[in-house]
Amino acid sequence: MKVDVFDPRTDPEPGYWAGLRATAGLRADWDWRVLAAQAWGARTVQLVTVLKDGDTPKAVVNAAWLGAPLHRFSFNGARSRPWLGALHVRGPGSGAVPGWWLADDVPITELTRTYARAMRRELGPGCLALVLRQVTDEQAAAVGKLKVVRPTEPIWTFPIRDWTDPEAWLMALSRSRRSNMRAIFRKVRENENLEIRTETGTTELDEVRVVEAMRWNDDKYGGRLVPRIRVLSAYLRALAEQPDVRSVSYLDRDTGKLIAFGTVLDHPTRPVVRSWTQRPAEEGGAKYLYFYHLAKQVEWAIANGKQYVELGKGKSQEKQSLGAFESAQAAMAVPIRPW
Amino acid sequence: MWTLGWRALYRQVVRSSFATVPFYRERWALSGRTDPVVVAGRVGEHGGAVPAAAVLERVSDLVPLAGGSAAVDPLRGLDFVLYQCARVTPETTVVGVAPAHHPRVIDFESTPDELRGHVLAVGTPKQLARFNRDVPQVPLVAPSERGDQGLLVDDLLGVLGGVRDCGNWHLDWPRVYARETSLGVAFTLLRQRSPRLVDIVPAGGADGRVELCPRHRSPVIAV
Repeated sequence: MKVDVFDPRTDPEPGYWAGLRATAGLRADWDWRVLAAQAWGARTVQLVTVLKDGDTPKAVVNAAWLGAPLHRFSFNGARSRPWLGALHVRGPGSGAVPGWWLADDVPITELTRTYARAMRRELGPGCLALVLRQVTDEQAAAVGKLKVVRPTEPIWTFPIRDWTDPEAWLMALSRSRRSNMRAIFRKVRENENLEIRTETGTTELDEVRVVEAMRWNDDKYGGRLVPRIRVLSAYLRALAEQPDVRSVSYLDRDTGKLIAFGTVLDHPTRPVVRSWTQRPAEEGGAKYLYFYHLAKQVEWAIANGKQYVELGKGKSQEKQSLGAFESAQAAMAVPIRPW
Repeated sequence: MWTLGWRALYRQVVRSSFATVPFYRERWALSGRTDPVVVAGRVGEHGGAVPAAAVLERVSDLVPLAGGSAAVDPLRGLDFVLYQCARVTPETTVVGVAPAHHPRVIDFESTPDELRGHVLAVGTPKQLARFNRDVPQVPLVAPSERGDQGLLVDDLLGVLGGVRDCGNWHLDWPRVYARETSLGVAFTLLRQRSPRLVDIVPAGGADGRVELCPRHRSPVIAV
């Protein structure tokens, strides 16, 4: 197989990219402009690799090159070429979605062989290991003996195809959650001060306010040792402008302040509820808005004939109580031969 | 030759801002800048200079990733520049705005009718209009409105320089860098870590050239 390695920061979009995205069902976060903005705003070098059989793309991989030296408080160096490290295959901008796609006739061993060797050639002998996320047991079994497989945080998904209408979804919930949801709907309906703005492919998003809001989340969930890196507003702008991205803003009508914000990346069958951020309670935020936001996404997904809605990691209790099911996840590390 | 160390420090601030400050990262990576170019082939608009109005909305993006203050001090630098541009001793009574630890300060509102001793009035031209010519005055003026005396002040950048005894508009050069761009003179605060201000054109613009004062051998803004 032929291998093309791209650095989205500086490499132009390959001619086959739009076709490849459509074939692979890659969501808006794989748009080249979004990838470029994401790569510039990352702590590590992000590389997109396409494996081709002749001229036909057969696989695409997005990976972060976790190479030494790594700095906690800086973006990746514009010309840095780390010499020792590992490749972390992950979805662009999110570890909750797979960072790779394979055509039906391509086995996962292509990643651990062809891809791994191509990256070793590209990055040098210091590229020691490959880490893949969202690996199933079957896929892990297909790879050779030298590997480490560890379970990671489960991913939550709404089984939209099980529900014919929003009422059917509500009836599937526990009685207390159902009455709680009805109370939330009423609370939102009666709150005249709350403005909910849902936009698709918007160019009018006030991304500066949204990025500010995202910082509350970053500070809340970011680790002390390796804090979350700030999202660039150019990334958010590029993402919100994609025709298949729904941005939902919750605003205070009186002050015009943004209370909460969420995005959904559309897909013919499996949209992803991506980022969610809201003001802390003392600044006017309310936890019920998260439930309301998810409920509205369920309604939208049912109305648009989606099969599932991916919710990502975390907030297990809340997601489970809303009828989501969990899928066990595993990460697999494979050594790369230095020769 | 005279600008070598000054420029080196500026280039270091540009490099560090590109690596750690979201606002400059985004702007210079996707659009570009010149002098120095940080991404090959990307030169951006106005050489990377930004009008102050575009920055005021996004001060939180000027905080480096490691964290820091997002507070803007409109009188930053007064402590250094005022002493270079006017005679100020501990006995001087400063009317209006004064350096942080100056012992004798009077507000404009509580100024007595008769002022005794060595007095210096520091404020905007409007605030100084009430004083007669006998009282030494230092007007705080925006770079676009500068005349032949006073201190250069911008709400975002603080005090950038002032007229010294040679009559030239001197920059506070150990702390402020100035660069000519197509948008006007753009200023950089060399010692302020956060919020990081690099290549900012003050409100109202700033015309002029960056030259060397023949007497003091330090950078000045010439007409």
